[in-house]
Amino acid sequence: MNKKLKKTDSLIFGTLFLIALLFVLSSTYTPFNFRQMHVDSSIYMTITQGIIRGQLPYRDFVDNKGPLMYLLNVPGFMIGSFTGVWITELLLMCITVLFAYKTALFFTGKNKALLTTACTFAAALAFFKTPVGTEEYALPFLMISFYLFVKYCWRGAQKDASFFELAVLGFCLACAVLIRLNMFPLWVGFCLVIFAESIAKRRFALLGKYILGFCIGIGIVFIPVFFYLKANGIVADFLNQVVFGGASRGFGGASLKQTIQNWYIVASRNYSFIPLLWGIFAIIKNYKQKDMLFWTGYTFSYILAVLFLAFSSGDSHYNLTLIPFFVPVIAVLVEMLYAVFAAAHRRNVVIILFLCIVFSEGLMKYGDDFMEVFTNHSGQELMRAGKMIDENTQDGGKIISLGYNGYIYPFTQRVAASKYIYQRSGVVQIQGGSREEFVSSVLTEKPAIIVIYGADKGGYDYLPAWYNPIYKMMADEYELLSDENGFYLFKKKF
Amino acid sequence: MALIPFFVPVLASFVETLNSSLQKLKNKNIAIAVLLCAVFSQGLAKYIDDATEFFHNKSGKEMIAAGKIIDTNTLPEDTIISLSNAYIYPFTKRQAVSKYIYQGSGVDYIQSSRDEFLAAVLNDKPAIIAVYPADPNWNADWYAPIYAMIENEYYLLSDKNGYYLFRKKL
Repeated sequence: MNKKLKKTDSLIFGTLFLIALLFVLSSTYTPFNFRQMHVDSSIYMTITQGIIRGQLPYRDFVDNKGPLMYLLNVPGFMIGSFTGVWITELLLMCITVLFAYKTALFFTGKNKALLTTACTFAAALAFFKTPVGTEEYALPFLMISFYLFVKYCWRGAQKDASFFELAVLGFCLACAVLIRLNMFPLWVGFCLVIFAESIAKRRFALLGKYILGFCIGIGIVFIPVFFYLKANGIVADFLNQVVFGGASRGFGGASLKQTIQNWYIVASRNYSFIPLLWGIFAIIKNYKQKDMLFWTGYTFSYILAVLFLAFSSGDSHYNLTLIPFFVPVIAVLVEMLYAVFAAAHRRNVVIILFLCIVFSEGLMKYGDDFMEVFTNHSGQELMRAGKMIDENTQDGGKIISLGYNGYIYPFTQRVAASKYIYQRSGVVQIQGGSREEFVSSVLTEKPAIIVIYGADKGGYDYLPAWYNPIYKMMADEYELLSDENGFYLFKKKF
Repeated sequence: MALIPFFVPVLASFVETLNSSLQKLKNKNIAIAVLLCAVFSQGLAKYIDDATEFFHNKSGKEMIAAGKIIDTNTLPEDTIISLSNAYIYPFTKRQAVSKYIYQGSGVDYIQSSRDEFLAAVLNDKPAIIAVYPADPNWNADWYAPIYAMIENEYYLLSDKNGYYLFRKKL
């Protein structure tokens, strides 16, 4: 069977595009059902919008994600606003789906690889809770790299990795890390195993080539980004907020016991333990055989990936970064099912039904997202709230949103009165008295509008006590402009 | 835990599958044992965590000590009440002043349970009111009449052993 993908395989390419399209249709940015984005995503979109207006990340906005998280959305947002962002999502998802399919081809035939790819993204749906989030945007780079590692390990000693492939690997690592700092375990696990093998076989010249190619790939991304930061004088801010702030949050002081508990929480989500168990099983089964290199790298990378998610005890959307590891396991499952149901009447229908049950969690979530077309009107509310702000303020007027979100900023022409556009998760880990600086800047600037999100809070006085100086200023100098559209808008009295 | 019986056939098939998949291995039994340890590592990790409690968890002794304080500071016919949970009762000889020996999950769905409980405590005034501050529900709003009574008619007998024990003033 010829398993190589040809340009003429239009049906396969069409199906892969359909998988990517169906996946991103559940995004909050879909033009068919635009609705309030995830809280993290509201921050990224605010910074992207600010970059388009000539502002700078880290100087004008405080956040702990890499610059690529904001820059990747700039072209799409410039050209087509939120629909442009959604098309960016679609393009990135197409790349992810294509490389998931190409990876699956190493483990199974063309049609089964297609089924494997569909199932992989059905599993991913359970973790797709932050559209236009760091995990979704890092996924193509993770998937391309995973494909290259599989390709390297599968061809064995017949042929070494090409310089281009090594550069692509480095390129992908740099992109993923410059989206979010903790995305590196995939590369660390596989590279350490490949390095150990090369040293054991005394292939030092080859190792030198690997390192050089990899570093060139990293440089292709890091050098322009460094010059972007340097030219704008924001290197120190980047280091403070992303490197030190991000690391401080990532290793947020969890005890060993808490980390182990988190490890199992992460591993328990929608079959996330299975790749690890399959990896251990495959190492044992392939002991001292040619496949052992791949499965050792796979298992080691997976343990590290889960561990780094466990350090920060994050939400289930973090598990999206584990999705590349699902491809081999699902391919094996599909192969097994075809073998088990070999004699079954209407075998394909039986297998698809069975797989629908297996991946029902993701499919249920997808159905739930789809139902939001009829019930969720938060997108229109955000637009109305943004319009109200624009109509009640002058050009050049500033606003501030209190709390942990930045929902409102992308919907108004007005800029934020403080670089602390949100003031909770992650920001408190940034050194330098971030809270005091924020309160001081709001009290000094006295923004034209103060926004408090109240849609699911039942009021506007739920924020912690350190916001009290701002509440006091609001009581004296502001009036309630609107409590509709899920927001409390307080306007400065003239 | 109630689902465990359903695990038995699946695990039996799983062990059979492992046995046949790894039959070519030299140390098959060790390999299967290692794999099963990985599969059930969550349970094993919890077991180890429980085992290490031997060295640092003194809550059993604290319970006994708290119960003893209650017994030595009350008469045999005196009653007590524990707010929220029921940890303390098995460690003392005194009986509860109310049939609502705990007031948390489930009890609050029984009609008029809170009113009956409050009436029993406020009328009969138990010799000891035990409060376990580690319980997240110990400070619920609807205990307010009891806290007011404690403020006026009780004194703090002990804040050791993980409990606040309030003794009725004589």
